[in-house]
Amino acid sequence: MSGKRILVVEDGITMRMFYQDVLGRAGFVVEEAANGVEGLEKVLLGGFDLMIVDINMPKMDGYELVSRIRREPSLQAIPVVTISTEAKDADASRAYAVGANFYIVKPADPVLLVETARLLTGAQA
Amino acid sequence: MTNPLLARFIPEARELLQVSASGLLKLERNPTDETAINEVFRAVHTIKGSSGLFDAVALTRLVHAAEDLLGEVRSDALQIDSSLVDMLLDSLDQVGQWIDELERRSALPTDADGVAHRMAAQLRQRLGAQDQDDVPDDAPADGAPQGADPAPDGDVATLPPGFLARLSAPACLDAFRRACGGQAVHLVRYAPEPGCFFNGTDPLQAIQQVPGALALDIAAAEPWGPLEDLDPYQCNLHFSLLTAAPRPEIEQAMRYELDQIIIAPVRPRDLVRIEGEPSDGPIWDDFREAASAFLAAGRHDDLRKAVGALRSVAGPTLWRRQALDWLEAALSAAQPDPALVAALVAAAGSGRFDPAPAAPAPAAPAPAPAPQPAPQAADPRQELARSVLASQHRALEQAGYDADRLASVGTVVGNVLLSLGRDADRIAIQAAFEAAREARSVAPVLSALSAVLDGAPLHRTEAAPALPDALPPAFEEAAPVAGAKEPEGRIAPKSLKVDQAKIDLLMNLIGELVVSKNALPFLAKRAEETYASREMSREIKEQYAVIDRLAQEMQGAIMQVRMLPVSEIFDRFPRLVRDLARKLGKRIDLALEGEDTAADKTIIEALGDPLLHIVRNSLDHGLESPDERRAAGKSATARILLKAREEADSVVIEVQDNGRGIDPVRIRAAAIAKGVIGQEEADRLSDQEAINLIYRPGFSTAAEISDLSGRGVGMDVVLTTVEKLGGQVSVSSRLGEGTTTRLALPLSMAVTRIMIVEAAGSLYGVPMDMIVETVRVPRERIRMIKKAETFVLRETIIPLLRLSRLLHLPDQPRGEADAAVLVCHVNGRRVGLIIDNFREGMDVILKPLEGVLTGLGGYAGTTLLGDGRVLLVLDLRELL
Repeated sequence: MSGKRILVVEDGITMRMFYQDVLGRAGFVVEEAANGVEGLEKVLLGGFDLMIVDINMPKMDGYELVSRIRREPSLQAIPVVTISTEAKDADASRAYAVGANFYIVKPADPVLLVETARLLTGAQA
Repeated sequence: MTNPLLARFIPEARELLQVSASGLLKLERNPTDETAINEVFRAVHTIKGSSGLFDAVALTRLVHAAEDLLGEVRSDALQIDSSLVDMLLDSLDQVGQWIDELERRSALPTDADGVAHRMAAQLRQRLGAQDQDDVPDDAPADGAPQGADPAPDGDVATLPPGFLARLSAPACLDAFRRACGGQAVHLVRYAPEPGCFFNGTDPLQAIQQVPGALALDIAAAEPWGPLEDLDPYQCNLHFSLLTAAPRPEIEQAMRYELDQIIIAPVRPRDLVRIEGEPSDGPIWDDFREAASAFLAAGRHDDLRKAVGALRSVAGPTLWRRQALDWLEAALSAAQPDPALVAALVAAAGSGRFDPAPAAPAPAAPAPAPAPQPAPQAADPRQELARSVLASQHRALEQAGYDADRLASVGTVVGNVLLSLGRDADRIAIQAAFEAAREARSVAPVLSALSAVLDGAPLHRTEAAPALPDALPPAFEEAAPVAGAKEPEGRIAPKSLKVDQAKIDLLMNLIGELVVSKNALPFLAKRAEETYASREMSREIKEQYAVIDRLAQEMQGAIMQVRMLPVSEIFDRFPRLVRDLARKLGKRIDLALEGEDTAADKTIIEALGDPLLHIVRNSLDHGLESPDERRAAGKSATARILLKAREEADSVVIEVQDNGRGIDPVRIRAAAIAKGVIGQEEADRLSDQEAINLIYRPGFSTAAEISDLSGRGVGMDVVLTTVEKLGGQVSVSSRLGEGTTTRLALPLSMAVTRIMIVEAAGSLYGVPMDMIVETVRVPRERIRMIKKAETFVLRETIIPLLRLSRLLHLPDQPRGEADAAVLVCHVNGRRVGLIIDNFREGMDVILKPLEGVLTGLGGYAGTTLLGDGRVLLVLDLRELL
């Protein structure tokens, strides 16, 4: 049980449940936000070890959210994984450009997701 | 449905489908509506993303195609028009049906793949040719659990299970030889519509028209089921045809069934079927050695010779000998497929055929765009770590020096190395980061990262931790994982989705509670009368007051939960009106107002049909065609407004149209012609009363019944339904200007306030909303007019009826005492009901009559009295 805290920003309710289940089972504490604005509000409260951000979201999309996070001095060090259904390299490139640390193509394999979360938070298996 | 993730997905998908459909309609009206396109795109996108979590490849494929199309619309590369909207709506409808199917059976129907291919292809046709190439490359779908075939299944046919086994060996070999020789071999899968016999289609004859047939297989589309349920008029067959004909010829032969077939090329290796007896011996080993050497050197001629030599000596019934036959066929091609030849050489050598021996590793879960580093593919965790580090390298390279960017990269690199237990590297990297900040350059970090990436496999200093084999594949019904260990201060979820059935159960329970608590006053009475304990009686009454208040509050709270916005039903209308308007050739603008107005779910649900009927009626009879409207000096586009608002304790819904209005003269004439009323009654009616005639049973003004509103039900059904809900309907109309139909319904109908009355020695309940007042009328004021009893109440003559007679019960002689009269408002008239006595009023939950009593007219239902007796509640409308 790592107890590391992950903020999942994702508009799909099923996807959120998926993250809760997969990451929660692996011992992470998962919090959710349903869009970019909510995600920004929550992450500003602090205390997260990792953010998983969906790209295509209402109100504020993932690119915008990540770039705003990176402009926030207190959030510059937080690892951010972006997730999208787009497998195109251009999308990944854009994610890295705005400040993402890793790019995963949806639907994420549960094992991959957990391992990514462990690696990026420094958690032990 | 045991998968809670799927249970969550289904309502989400339905909601998103609804959003998409209404967005598309908005878009059709206003193609430049940016909000609408974004909304639709995102909804479809979310469905696609979530659907990838389930074994629903066909659904994902179709949604993906729709999303791509919408993406083009969003980026203005494609102009949206009605036919496009039609196509998209059809696709969404199909997805909706699949969602229903997923809910029922947790799986898509067997024909889903075919349907998805066909519909997706139609959608993609609109995308234009340049995108055709990457069409079947369904990235998200491929991650979903699928069959064992790692190849993308978009352009290649997957043979139905057991297909080859049902073919003769020579047929297989023949097909294989052709396929290897570069002649495309296609599999045609034909799923005739179940009702095809009725359009004169003979599916067997149809498929036999396809030229170049190599083999045909016919199988049941769905399991046959018990004989007694068999419907011989439904076609339950699937045809699979292997043919050497080129695609255009197949399409030509099946041109009338194109929407029911899928044509896909078959790979030679999928056609291989080797049979025979096992054998062993040194000649096979020798062959394997020699053949492998020839193969490696690309010496196909020598290989052919070796095969020919061995074939001539090996017994023809042996498995390995058969393998040689296939190998020979594969080698007979001008350009033999090396992988296939290698596989067959291995088969002849080893006695087992593996269709893809050295196939490239299937798409690993590694993120596609991340650079795929070093080939030590041993440990997926190591691979992933490399990939993560490589991504940091890439991000830094891309961004150049940026102190802010360096921060998160530093965290990630540190964490990865920490997680892997590579402390030495971690220290080195940390130093590199320090150096980078000082030098204001990413170079030190990049080179340190490269060193780590190029170095030995990223091994932990001690034993590497094993990857978890796999996460539990199914999400069991277990409690949400995070629940137990959430830190304090977690923000509570804003809303909760609850199954309706659970709320209904709660509602029933609270109903029982309300009824049971009614027993307490009786208990108090008994304590006082039977046990002579006034003290006890008082205490019970006090407790009763508390329980009563709590029960009421609880009931109120649950009622709130049951409230649904009228948008639940309003949202169906844009689509409906659009479709009907097109069918009727009318131009109609539908506007919705007050969709947020909420009412009890029972009301909302029951409201759908009457509202539908009113709107249909308006479309059908009320609104004119564009030409008629222009001729009348109106705008060509007619308008319907659906409006909801809350008024006191009721929800009012209005359907307004600006059509031709109702002509009272025509209504009168029609009513007389149909025998609904007589001539003199017609003359007496005011215009408004004439208009109200449309609610009389058996009335319909349309000369012929149209297929929209004329379904054998008239507006009288609207009236009945609404009145059953305790509501009222009124209609007002101005000739040439339009009609407004107004429905007023109670906000909630779970609790009925009734008055208990005595008649013929029994107790009955009468709904309070029917009662106007209660009066005691002295005998002498009851007058006889003709043969009916009446009395005058504030200068109005009120007819009197005896409840006991209406119930066919004997009168209770009451002597000369005043008559107890319940003045009621029923069917638009005032009536006095003579009863024996009035009793208290109470709130009850009405239970409908069940079983054989259902057909009993005159009763609205039953309820339990506090002392356990059953009270019949009267339905005065039916009784009078």
